[in-house]
Amino acid sequence: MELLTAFERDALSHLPSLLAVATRLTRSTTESEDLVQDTLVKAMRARGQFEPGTNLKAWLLRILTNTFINRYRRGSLERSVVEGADADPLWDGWMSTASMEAMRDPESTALRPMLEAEIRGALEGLPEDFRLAVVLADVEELSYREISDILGCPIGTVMSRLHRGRRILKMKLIDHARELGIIPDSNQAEHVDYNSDPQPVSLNAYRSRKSGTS
Amino acid sequence: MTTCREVGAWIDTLVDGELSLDHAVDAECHVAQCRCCAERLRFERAFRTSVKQVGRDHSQPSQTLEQRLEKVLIAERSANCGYACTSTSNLNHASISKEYGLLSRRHVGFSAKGLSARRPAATNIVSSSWGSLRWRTLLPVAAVAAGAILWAGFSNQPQDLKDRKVASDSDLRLSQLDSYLDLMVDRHRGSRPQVQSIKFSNSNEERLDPPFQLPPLQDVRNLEARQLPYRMPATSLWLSALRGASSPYQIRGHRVTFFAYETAAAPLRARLEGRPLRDHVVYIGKRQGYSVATVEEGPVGYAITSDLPPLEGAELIASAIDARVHH
Repeated sequence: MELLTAFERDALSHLPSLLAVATRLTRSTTESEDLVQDTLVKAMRARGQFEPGTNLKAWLLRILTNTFINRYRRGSLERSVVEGADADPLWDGWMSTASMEAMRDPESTALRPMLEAEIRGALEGLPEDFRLAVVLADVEELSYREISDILGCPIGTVMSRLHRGRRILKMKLIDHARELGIIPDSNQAEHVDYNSDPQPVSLNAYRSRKSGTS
Repeated sequence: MTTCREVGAWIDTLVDGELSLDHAVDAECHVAQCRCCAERLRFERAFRTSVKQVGRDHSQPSQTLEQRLEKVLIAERSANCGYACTSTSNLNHASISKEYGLLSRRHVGFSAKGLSARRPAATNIVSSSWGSLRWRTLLPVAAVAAGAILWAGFSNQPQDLKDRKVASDSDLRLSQLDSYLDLMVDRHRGSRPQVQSIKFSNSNEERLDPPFQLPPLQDVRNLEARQLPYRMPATSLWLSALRGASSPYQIRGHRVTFFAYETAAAPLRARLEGRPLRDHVVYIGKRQGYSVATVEEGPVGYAITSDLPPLEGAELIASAIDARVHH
């Protein structure tokens, strides 16, 4: 058997996570494997910079993300589009309670299986920044702080991208659910309580909540 | 009293586990009494679960990928550190470093004089047939020649001492590797094969016979390789810096120069980009307009320089390795 160092073993133990994120980012099995390989090679070369005791998975994901961005990002157009969308107010309430209930799988704690299939395509269709945030949060279950460190952006931007990315996914799910007849066409906005007065998520409120100074 | 609007604003952070405890309690209390918000919370949780399931669909790495990445990590470690840890059927742990020559002489007593005595035997090996010199036989020979000696030398040292020692070599090594790549390209670029006889002399004591000879590719089936004419035996075309040999070939209509070299002396992968190709990790790159593709298997590396695009060069060297295995 080949002899691996402790660092190499630890790094390889995060292979499923790296592969999951890489696959969602590249949308290609082959490219995702290349991306993971590049990530591990870079991690090996920079392993002196890793601080033992900190989150190796987050560190590896940061390398993977940067590698992906450097290699695949198609100029600044997409970024400007994404940042333009970020400027929109964030609010919800566009889905009725009945619609939400109809979309859930009564047999499990997930959505209906036919909707899950739609998520796969919708996830791949998300703008890159949103996709990254959603994958890191919902697939890898990283904290906002960790995602912020990985993406190199403020926590508020992470929250914004998460909210917008998830919203795009949900809207596609609704469309798909309507096509499938899971929810009726006219079934919209029953839940008018906060739909009538949409408010953006307040970063200051979040910070004060987190710091306990509210 | 918490309102639906507040819960609506908090729901993402609540489900993500980022909401502070007091607000989370407020939200949960509200949700317990509000059907709409309760359904919304259930939906959000179901949505997260589904995204996670979808995201994890392809996350189980195949055994092949794991093995390949293990190889890459070990190769990268050895490239950075200047030593390799590999295993063969004959050796549990063979380490090779650039200090091969010094250690060889120190531990085994090689000398220029001794080499002169060994040279005829090496020449005989070269003239023998491909079939009698299976690479599977050569690898252990190479490993025994270099690895066992070095492992004996290294194994008694503390790990951190080894790391320090090899780390100090890294910078020097990287610039050396660039010059080695240039050397290979120069050899390929020559309008006619550069014939260099081995010039062993008293002033050249550090030169040792390579622990392997260049395999004749023209005998490998399905490779369509034709060796181009040269005046000296293949081992005479060796590169002392690489501790390897080169030979010009025409393969599938392209002129290529084939190299076999000692990875301990020249871990070229450190200056090239690794690409998985079938069961191999092929390291590719461009140098002075020519492509270099190499597969480094334990102590021995096999490289091709050509004017082909790097990926085609990679395909070629991988095919050569595959053909060798199935020969």
